[in-house]
Parts: sequence; C-alpha cells; structure tokens
Amino acid sequence: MADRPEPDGRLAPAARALWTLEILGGGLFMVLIVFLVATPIRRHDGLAHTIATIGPWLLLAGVLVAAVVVPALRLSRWRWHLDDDELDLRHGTITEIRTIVPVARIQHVDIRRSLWAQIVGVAAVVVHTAAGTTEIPALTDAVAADVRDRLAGLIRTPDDD
Amino acid sequence: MTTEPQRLHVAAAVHHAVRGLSDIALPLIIGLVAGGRSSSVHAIGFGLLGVIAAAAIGITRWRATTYRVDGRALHFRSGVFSPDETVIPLDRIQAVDTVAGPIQRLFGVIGLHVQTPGGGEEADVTLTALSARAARELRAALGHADDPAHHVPASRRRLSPPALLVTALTAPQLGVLLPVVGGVFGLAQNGLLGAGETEVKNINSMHEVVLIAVALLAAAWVLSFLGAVVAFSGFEVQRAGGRLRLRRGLLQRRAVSVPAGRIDAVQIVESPLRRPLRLVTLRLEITSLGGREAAARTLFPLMHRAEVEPFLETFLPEFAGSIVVDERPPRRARRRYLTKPVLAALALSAVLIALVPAAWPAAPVLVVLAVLSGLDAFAAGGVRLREDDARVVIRARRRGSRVTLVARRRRLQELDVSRNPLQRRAGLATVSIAVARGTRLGVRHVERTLAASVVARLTASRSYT
Repeated sequence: MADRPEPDGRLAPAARALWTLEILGGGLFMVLIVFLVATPIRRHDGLAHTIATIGPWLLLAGVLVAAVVVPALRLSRWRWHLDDDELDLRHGTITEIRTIVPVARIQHVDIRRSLWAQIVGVAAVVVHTAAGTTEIPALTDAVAADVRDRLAGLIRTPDDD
Repeated sequence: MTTEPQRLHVAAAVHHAVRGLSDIALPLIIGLVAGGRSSSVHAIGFGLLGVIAAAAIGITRWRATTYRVDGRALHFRSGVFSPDETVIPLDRIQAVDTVAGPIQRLFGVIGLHVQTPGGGEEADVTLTALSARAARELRAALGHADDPAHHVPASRRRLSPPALLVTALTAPQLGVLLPVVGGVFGLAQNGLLGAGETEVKNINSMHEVVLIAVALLAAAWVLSFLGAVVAFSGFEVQRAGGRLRLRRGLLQRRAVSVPAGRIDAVQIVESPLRRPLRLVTLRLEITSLGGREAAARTLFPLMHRAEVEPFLETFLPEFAGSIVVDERPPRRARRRYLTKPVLAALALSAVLIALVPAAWPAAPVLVVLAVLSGLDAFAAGGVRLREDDARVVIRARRRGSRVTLVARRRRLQELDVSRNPLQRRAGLATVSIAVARGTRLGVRHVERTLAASVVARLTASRSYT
C-alpha cells in the first residue's frame, strides 16, 4: 500500500518571528524570576553560591539559543493540507507528529490572533472537534480567512450518518 | 387529542418535600452542631420546623405543576414564583422512560422521563409521579404507548447479584488508591518529624503508620464498594430495535435510551483488580447525547472476557466481530517499552534512597515492577484493521488497565502518528486515535509500514500534486 503523501502547505514565514517572540516572552519572564530568587541564595557559601551565580546566566543563554533554534526547526517541519475530506498536519520540533482530522468531525472553526501574532501579522486557525482542538498556528491573514471559509463551507454539508 | 391541564399524583408533593428536606438538612445539621449549646428541645423544634417548611414547599410545588397534551405538543408547567412552561412538540420526543425512586415505589406510582434529542437534562421533562392509569393515558397521547418496561425487548441482560458483588469488590481503581496510601505515608512522616520526634525508625510509630495506611485503604475500599453498589444495582441493558436502553441505580432508578447509531466506539477495560479474574467492563463512547452522555457511560459493568464477542453480537451488532488484535509491535520494540518505566523506577529509587537510606531494598523491587509493567504494555499493544471490516480495534495499556477500543472507522475524531528521533532511526512509529469526546488510545513502537497502512486505510485515499 502506498504511503499517504506528506502535506504540502507551509506556514507564513513570519511564524519564526512569532515563536521567537513567544519563547522570549515566556523565557525572559522565567529568567527574571530565577534571578530574583537566586539573589538572596548567592549570599550563602559553597555549592549554593556557585549554582545561584551561574544558574540564571545558563538559563538566560538557554532561552536565547532556544529562541533562535526552535522556531527555525519548527517552521522547517510544519506542513498542512486541507481538502474536502481531511485536515492533514505534520508538525513537531524533535518528535515528528502527523495529525489527521476528518472534516466531517469538525464542529466549528475560529481564527485567533494573540498579541504576538498581531505584532508579526499572522493568524492561527483553530479547529474544534468533539475530542478537542487542533490548530494551524501561523498563516497570513488572507490564507487563514481562506481556510476558515473553505472549512465553513465543508462543515455545512450534512453528514452522511 | 387535547386535555385539560392536569396535576401529577399527590405523591409528587411528598417527593418535592423530601427533596426540599434533604436540601435544608445539611445547613440545619451544621447550624445545630455549630450552635453547640442548644438543647435537644431546640433541636427537635428546629427539626419540626424544617419538616413543616418542607411539606409546605412540597404541596405548593405540586399545586403549581401541571401538564397537558394538545394535538401537537406536551406542555409542562412548573415553578412557584416564576412558572416555566416547557413545550415539547410530539415529533421531537425521542423516548419516554419510566423512572421509579423509593417514594414512587412507596406510593405505587411511576415517574415518566420525556427525552428529546440534543436537548440535555435541562430540556427534558420529568413528571415525578403519575398513577399507572394517568401514565398509560399520557403515553398514548404522546404516541409512545409501548413502555419498554412492560414490552418484551429483543434481548436483555441483567447484572446478577453475585456479579454486582464482584463488581463492587473490584471497583477501586489503583490510580485512586495509590495516592491515598502515598498521602498517608507522607502525612505520617511529616507528623512524626514535625513533632520533633527522633524515633521515626521506632517500631511502634512505623506500626502506626502502617495501621493508618491500612485503615485508610480499607475506608477507601468500602466507599468505592458502596458507590459501586448504589450505581450498578439492578443494572440492565436492553436492545430493542435501533436503541439500547440502560437502567441502573439502587435509590434512584436511572434509565437512558441510546440510539445505536450514536455510538462511536465501545471500550473494553480490564482493570488491574479484574484482569486476574478475566473480567472486563464495557464502556460506551458517544459524542453527543444531549447532555446525557454521563448516564450512558457504562454499557455493562462486569462480564467474563470470553462473553464480550457474543454480547456485542447480540446487543451491538454494529460492533460485532473479532476483537483479537493481530498486528503487533515487533519483538525488537520490546526493549523500548522497558526504557521509560525502568528509568522512572531508577529516578524514584534515587530520590527515595537520598531521603531515607534505609529504604534501599525498595529499589530492586521498583525496577522489577517497572520491567513487568513494560513487558505487560508490550504484550497489550496491537491493532486490528481489515479491509472488509467497518471497525478498527486498538488495544493498549492505559494507567495499569488493559484497554481495547473498538471504533467505527468512519467516526474517528482524529488520527495521529508520531515518531521521535529514536523511533525514526529504528523504523518505528506510535499510532493513536481519538474518538467521541476525546478518548484516546495509541499503540507505541509499531512498524513504520504498519503505521503508514493504518493511515492509508483510515483516511480517504488521495494524492497531492
């Protein structure tokens, strides 16, 4: 049996900027907290002092590296495809995940623009089924609206059962 | 047919009164206990006042509740201060079920539960008490004259009292019991250490800890035993035409009617306590039943594993067929099933030994348990998928239980295939499906080719250009 072909649609290139902002936003806040917590611990001697001195800087370096590497990896892997039967997604940074949602099971569709998404000018299409939600995280506004309209047309078609 | 507005049987007043009383009983008791110094005369006085108030509420509510049927709809009016009128068009009525709680049985009356599709409990109408004659007339007027309780269904199966006993005895979920035991140990240790005692290793206090744990475990067991008895007493499943009717309950008889076409999947669960006895529980997976999904979760509480296929054949021919999973993870995947639990056991042992060095003998025990659990997960994993079969069967281990999911192919909510870098190198993949309201089950480390053929068979075939 032939393998199902991989989906072919890519995300908007601005997705990289979006994820960089998200990682920096969350990560720098965490780094700030860790610095605040580490400050009083640094007054101790020995191992505690070393960890409290180096730890926050290591974390900061980790966040900065992740903010550069993770979005690039994620964007290079992300593919999506929508047709009359299924929404087909391939995603994941380290673990590759293929998710297929039958269009007949989709209950409704949202377009979501988080603060970061508005800054970089992309939108997420969020698809709701009885079992949960699935999203295409970063499309240009025009593509997102097109996907939403196509899905809206498809899910209006009565189910065969 | 048009009828004048009619009242329910007067037993409805008693029903409302008792419910009113049980609503105010708790605040009353708390008030009395918190009051503390009040004498028994006070207590009796309060009690009497409560009973009188409840009786007044019951009678008022009974007087305010009426129903009537005109040619097109059932009109149900209830509520004292803000009367609500619910109108259910006759052709929207999905089922009329009989409900009989202790009060109804005491007065020899029955309640009728008028169900609508998709409306949920809120939109349904329950007529709490009707005489047998009024019930018969109402059923006739609603066009649902056949009372499933009096009408011999195509097939029926009841949970026998001995089976109920076994159901209740094996009801506790390990997942519920273990945290209780863990909590007790934690508490006991904190308590002993917090009190500044140094004899934690003292035999007496260790005995106490074990005693407390055993007592709490027993209490949890008794509670879940009673819960199961109340929930599953008189459990009965019937198949009549395209519907399954499920009834159960000790104090309050609950009945729910499920169109077989709404059932997306059946789950066969072998919990750790039941598996050695080769016993299973059958669950229904339904996307939507108008808010009544919870009442229709159990298809049958307990049966022998060998009975499952004949049972499905009789009650749910839509899901009949072999449930043997014949596509299994390859032998080379076995060690991958061991990695995670063994690493977790080692980490847990390290923490344990760091905290309580004397507990080192627990480490090898944990590792052996982890290996056994991994081997069991490997043995459980499998898929059955046939060209000529409208079902897909997936079996895997989930939180200690062996679970078999029999799903309609065309009703899957989602299909996932994931491959981490190690799996990619070994040519393996994890396949999982989601059905109904988010029940997921997946098999780890199957051959990549099997994963691809599952995807190909469960989805519409196509080629992207």
